[in-house]
Amino acid sequence: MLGTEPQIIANYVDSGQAKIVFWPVLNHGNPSVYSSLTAQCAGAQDPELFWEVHDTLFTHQGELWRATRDYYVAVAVAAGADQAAFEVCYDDPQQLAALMNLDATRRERGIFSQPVFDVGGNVFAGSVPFDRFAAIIDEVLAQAAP
Amino acid sequence: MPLMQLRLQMVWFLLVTLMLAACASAEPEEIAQVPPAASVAALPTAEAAITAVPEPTITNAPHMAEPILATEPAALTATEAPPTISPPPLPSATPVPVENSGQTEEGAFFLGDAAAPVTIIDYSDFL
Repeated sequence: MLGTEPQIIANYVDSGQAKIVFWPVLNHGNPSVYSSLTAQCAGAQDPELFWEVHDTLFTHQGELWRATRDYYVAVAVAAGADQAAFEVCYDDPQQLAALMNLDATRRERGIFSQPVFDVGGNVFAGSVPFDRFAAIIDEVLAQAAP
Repeated sequence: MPLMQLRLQMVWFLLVTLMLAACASAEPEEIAQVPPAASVAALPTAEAAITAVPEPTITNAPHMAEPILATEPAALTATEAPPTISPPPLPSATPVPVENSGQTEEGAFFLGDAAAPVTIIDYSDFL
């Protein structure tokens, strides 16, 4: 989700009303696994870097099908990650296992396609315009208000 | 005849006395009429007394580069500006961006305030 994300961040996240959780869905083989692992290892150095790499990967989505290890290292370093630490993380089997656990958990939650959004328990699949997001978020906020 | 001489002597005495008295009264007038101008100018006047007060001098302490006024200027405290009280800043209309980010208990990354009332989970792939 990158299309409506900037609007959600500007209208709800920056004001402290909502937070966005990115949950990986590994439905496209190794490109899915290693692009998600790249974001995860950048985030291991600094969570802000996860979101830097997240934006870069979505922006260059078409290149990921043929992306190599060097490509992902370059993406992480360009975002500000330390290269040596990133490569240690990228090659760490435990990091790969943690990523696979997240993917297993979403299956247990009944998520089999992407994108799927869960807004305060309201689950819906597919991209929707910002107005639809805003209506659901406002409804959840109203319910949460004392 | 002796009476006549006595009267003449008395008249003479009076004339002499009058002349002496006249001479004695004329002497102070002469002194008063000759005021020496030069001696008046030499007397200290009020203006001269003002200019004669020494100016504040500036002395250099041997260990200081800047000169120090030997006489404290009295007007310094009088010209000090009164302290100004600035109003408190008005609350901004635009919210301050939250830059919190981190990981959930399961290890997924989130953006925003961890305690935000609404959680949006984006199940997604970069492809």
